[in-house]
Amino acid sequence: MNLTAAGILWRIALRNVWRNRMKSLIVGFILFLGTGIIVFGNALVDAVDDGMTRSVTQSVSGHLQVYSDQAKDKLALFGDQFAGMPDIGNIPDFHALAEVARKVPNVEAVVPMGIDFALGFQGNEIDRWLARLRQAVRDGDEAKIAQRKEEVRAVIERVNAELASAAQLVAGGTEYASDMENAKRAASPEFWAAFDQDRLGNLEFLENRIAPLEQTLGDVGLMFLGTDLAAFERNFDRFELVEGTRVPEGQRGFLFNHGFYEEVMKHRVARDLDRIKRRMDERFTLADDAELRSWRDLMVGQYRRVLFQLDRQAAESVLSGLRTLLGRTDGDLPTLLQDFLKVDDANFATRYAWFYEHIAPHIQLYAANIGESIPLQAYTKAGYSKSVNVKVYGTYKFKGLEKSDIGKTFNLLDMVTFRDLYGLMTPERRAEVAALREKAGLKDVKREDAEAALFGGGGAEPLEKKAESAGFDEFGDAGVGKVVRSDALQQFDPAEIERGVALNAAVILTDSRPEKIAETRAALLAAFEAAGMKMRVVDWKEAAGMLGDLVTVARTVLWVIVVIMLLVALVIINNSMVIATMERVKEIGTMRAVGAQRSFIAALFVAETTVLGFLSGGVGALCAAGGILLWGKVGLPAQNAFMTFLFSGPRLYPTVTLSHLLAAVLLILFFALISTLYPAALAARILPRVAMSEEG
Amino acid sequence: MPSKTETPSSPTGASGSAASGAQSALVELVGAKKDYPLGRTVVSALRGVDLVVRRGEFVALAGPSGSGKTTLLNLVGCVDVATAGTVRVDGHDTGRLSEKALTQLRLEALGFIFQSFNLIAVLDVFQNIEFPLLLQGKLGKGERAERVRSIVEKVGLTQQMKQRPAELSGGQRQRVAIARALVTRPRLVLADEPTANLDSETGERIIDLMRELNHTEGTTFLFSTHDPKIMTHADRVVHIADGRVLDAAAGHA
Repeated sequence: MNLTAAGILWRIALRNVWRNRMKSLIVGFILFLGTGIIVFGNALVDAVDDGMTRSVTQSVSGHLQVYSDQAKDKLALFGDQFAGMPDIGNIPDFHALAEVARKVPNVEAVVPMGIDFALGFQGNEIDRWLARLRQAVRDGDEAKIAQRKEEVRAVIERVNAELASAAQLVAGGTEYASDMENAKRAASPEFWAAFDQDRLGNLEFLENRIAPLEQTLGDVGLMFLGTDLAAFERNFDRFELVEGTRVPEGQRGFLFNHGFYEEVMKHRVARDLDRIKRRMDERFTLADDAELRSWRDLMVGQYRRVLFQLDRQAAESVLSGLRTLLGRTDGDLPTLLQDFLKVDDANFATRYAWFYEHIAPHIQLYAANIGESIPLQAYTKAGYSKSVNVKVYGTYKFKGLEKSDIGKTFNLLDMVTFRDLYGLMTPERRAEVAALREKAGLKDVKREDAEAALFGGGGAEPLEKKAESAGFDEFGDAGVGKVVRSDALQQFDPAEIERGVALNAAVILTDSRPEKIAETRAALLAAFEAAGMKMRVVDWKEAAGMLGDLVTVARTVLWVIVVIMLLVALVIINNSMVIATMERVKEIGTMRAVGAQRSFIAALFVAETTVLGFLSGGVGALCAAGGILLWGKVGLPAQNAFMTFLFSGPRLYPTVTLSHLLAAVLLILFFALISTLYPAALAARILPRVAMSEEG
Repeated sequence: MPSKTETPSSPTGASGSAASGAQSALVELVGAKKDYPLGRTVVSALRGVDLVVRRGEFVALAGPSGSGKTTLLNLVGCVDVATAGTVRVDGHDTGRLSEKALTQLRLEALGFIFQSFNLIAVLDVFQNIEFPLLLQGKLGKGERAERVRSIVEKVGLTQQMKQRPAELSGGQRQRVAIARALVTRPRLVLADEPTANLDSETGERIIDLMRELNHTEGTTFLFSTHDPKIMTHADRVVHIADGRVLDAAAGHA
């Protein structure tokens, strides 16, 4: 076809689109809608993809993850929560691996990692009091011992009273008999009079028989990510210290995830109050919301957690305060505490503030305080339980992911302590540790010498030893913030981090476009291969496990919808074009008679669809783009924690790119053209003689 | 029946076409037959036609409805091919040409005027007339416009150049069709009942116009009609009935 013919072809096509307005409108509307949905859907999925990418890559995974080819399971950073921790093998020499990886272009940083699960012992209120008493006994501070004894007695009396009322409720219950017996004994003046004769023995009795009577015993499970903390902070933009300080380089240390700290480690009653407050801030009221009421009732049931933490003095001060606040002249502390916690819409704000002002200072608001050490207990790879005390330096959060559960998953631990807990050390490292221990041993002796000199504790030592041999461990001491292990072992050479074992390594890239990630992944694989290292390299999506598939699933769903829609559109367009062809038989016949080739006629139909496709697709894309721009300003609010993670923040701000629009229009055009093929072929077969009169 | 007879018409200038063996015969049909399948039977629209049209002739094709006029025009107009016999147009045996070559032949050598005008609705007068020139793609824009304007002037539609077919009267539309048929300077213009949809006065004027162009441009015309008044304008009238030429000897008016 020549150029001038092409000119007239487009003109005819354009005008035909206008002439057959009704048909054009129907087909155009379908194309408009299709383009709109494609643009909108893609923008949404891309925004989620982008949000999730940022959520995952900037918080934990980096762009690529490297782990051993010997792994039994696939790396799943966010865990197969039901199947336990995956066994991903280990990287015996992180340094060697990092050296290879860092030479690969586009690699910005390589951060060692290891994820594990530990139990943090929370203890209960009685345990805490007993731990303080034990500390005083250990220190041999008689004045302290007397004071602590008083406190323990007061608490036990309260437990005894509580137990008595519980026993009344379950009248005739025999299970309580021995408990009651023990509690009575512990509360008796005789017990306390004789306490000093066998302090450690009696402490053991209290710890084993009395403390469990308080039903708040609990270990708390925590996920931790062992890593090079300094490198982690440098390379994961989402990291932000909330409270406390960074773990100094070369020090063992632990950083709580702030969300985890607030929601798990915080005092139960405070947590419940916070939770109620958050929901009330969202304009729910106790009067109307059953869930809020159930939370409140649960909280009232937790009053003992406050009660048992108050020492005699604090109890008195809280009692008198509560009497004033509640306008009561009678009632004991347990009753008033419960009444106090029975909040309603009118008094909640006052009581919330009162709690933090008058009660919180007297209780341990967090199960572990910043600056203190916590015991972590984990099962090593060999299967035996191992515990380590590690100092909590502070709390951190992943910016924008504060509200997401996944953003609250990991607590951070230094790499060296991680290795201890995980029970994996290279022989080389083991030798070093042995050497360190020897050095540390010297220091210990020195310190103990000093203590002995100060307190003349010659007599205390055998007792302590006896207690330990009786099976006590140091957990009870943890809460009081004593560094139990040698200080020397809390330190290490920062280079140590690099030299040991890691389970996996995060690779952060300079250019993180998907195609670049893929390219670098291949380059890394090749580099490891060349270095004789058998490693797996996965992108963050794969490393995120099920979570990483989410976007793929969403995208698939979107495309399935689009394809179904397009197929329906195809049928409709095809039909309406065939009808249009039938209506134009004479005109087409005339063109053919006058000298238009078949190709011209076919091209005419294609041109008409193209015009229509461009117009309606273009308008559809622009409308969708406008909608997205508007939406991108306001943002789509995340409805829950998971959405916060997907959106990488509280709101999703979808953006639209030219490529989105172009791709959608081209796709729609392509489909429209396919739907035109049959009508076009039909039109091209129209005989020129139909232009002549109908006479045979 | 003798095919080449009568009317030695002046081969006026124009078309110096492939000087064929059939001395200045532009169209030559020998024993042309055309059968159409109709359900299970076959309808013979043409039952062996011999006919010669010479260059510059103005020939009317007369006959009742169903006699085969349109079929004959279809064969001559290269929009259909004969079932048997030969049809030679401007030196080409149409039975031997491909679809594409037939189309090209129509575009280059023929012009069509239809009973119901068959203009392209979305194009204005100028564009309708320009259409075949655009398909040919031989002339530049200026030349094309010049060509269109001069033919528009000849058919007297200078005022209506920018109007669409729907805005024109029947006579005006047929003038546009005539202009479109002639704008490529074809050697033969075929007109199928060009006046059937027009009142007799307009019809007369249209025939006059065709006759005039036959004289001035030297274009050969072959048109079908069943209107005796129109036939009187022809150099000769070829009568058809039942798919056969009755007498090719119809003389001049």
